[in-house]
Amino acid sequence: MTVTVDFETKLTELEKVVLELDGEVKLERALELFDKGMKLSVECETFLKGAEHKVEILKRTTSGISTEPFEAQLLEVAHK
Amino acid sequence: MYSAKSMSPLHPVLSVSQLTAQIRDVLEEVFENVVVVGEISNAKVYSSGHWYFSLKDKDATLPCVCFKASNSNIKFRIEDGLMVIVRGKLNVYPPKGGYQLVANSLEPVGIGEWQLAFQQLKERLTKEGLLDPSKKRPIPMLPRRIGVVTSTAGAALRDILSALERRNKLVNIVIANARVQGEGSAEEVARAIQDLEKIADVDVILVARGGGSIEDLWSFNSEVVARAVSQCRVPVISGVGHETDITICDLAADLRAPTPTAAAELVAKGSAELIERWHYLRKRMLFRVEDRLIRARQKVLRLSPVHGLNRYHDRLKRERMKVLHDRDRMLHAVSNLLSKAQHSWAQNSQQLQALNPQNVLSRGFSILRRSDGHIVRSANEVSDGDILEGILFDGSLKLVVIKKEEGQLPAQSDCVNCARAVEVIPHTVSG
Repeated sequence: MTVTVDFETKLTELEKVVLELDGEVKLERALELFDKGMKLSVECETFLKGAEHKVEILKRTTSGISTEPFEAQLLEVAHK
Repeated sequence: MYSAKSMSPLHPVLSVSQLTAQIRDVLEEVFENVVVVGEISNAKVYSSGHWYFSLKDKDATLPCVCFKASNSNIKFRIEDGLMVIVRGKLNVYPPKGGYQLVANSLEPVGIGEWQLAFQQLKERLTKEGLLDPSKKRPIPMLPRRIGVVTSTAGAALRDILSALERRNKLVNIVIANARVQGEGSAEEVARAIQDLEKIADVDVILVARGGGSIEDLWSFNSEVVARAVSQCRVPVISGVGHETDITICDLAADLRAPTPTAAAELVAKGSAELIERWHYLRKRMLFRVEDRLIRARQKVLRLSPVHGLNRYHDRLKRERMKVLHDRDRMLHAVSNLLSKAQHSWAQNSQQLQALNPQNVLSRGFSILRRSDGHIVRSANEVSDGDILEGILFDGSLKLVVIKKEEGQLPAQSDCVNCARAVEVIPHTVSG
């Protein structure tokens, strides 16, 4: 959960950077902000790329409950 | 058989049991199939599952019982004041000397059985505060893991998965399979919710099933599901039935969605929006920085020597243009003047030409001049014997005045060698 919170925090930081860039900034400051912004943007991108779309299903066994991967394709077959 | 008609002093005396038995026979035979309407009072539900109550109206009361076997299908609870239609048969209970109606079905008056049950449960849960709006928790903006309680055999799951697939790859899903209608389904749903909460580490739970009749949806109106939803420590979104169906599960959940697909989209919305926001911010940042650099570059160019020279060059060009332009204007003006002068000269020339004495002379007039050069206009200016010069258009004559005569012009037919008086034509001289 904290990783996602990070993403949102980073995004808010990025927003601040862009907001400042929208105003009148000196060139050095603009380049500074760009550096910072790009770093944040790349971090966000990495996070997004790394997020996998996993689908699992709960299974009750004699030893308890666990999760195992769920084949969504099976659903399609069942409905045909 | 005791009968009022066959009263006789020798008739045997009946025992209480005997009499009661006869009463029972009569009553139970006649009132074997009764349908009666009345108001419930003294309602009691025993732990055995049997229901005891009285049906009454203004003037009479009828004790009733509904045994567990009969009442297990009844969706609503008996409560005092409820108007019901009861079907059953009369029963005499000898030990107490009373009769009662053994009900095999009850139905409420003026309201459907299902609606009544729904209302009763809703009231009960509301009283406990389970449906309180202040108890609703906010749905997390960015759930990492979503739990889904639904049947793997149902269409709802397919809809949810495809909606999430479409909008949002950031989200993981854990499915807890549960039957969504039929005997025992309410308990399965409740258990599924609890399982997800306990072991699956999910940020939000979706409870979903597709549309159906009120009977089909009934497990989602059950107390066990309501309590499971309410007690769940993870926020619950309920997407049960069609848009117009409202179940107790919907009311107990932290958020109600009109359909399973809508529920999925609600959950995924936050992350999808974040992703869009990130895209936009990135674009904007790049644009702003590029813009800033362009402006800086322009400023540098403006201040550079080359730029200065260029501007000087431009200025020179401009001045040159000005000079050329003025020159042209000057030429043009001069040319105009020249034309005007020429024109004027031509005019004057013509006029002069018109005044040329030769024209007059060629018409036959002559000019008379004295030896002192004076041009003779008047007869007074000459005397007889004077020598005059006579100028004709093609030559001159030396003349002697033979005789002068004053007065008007002589007639045309005269003088071959006579000088004619020079006619002064006023307008040509003064013209």
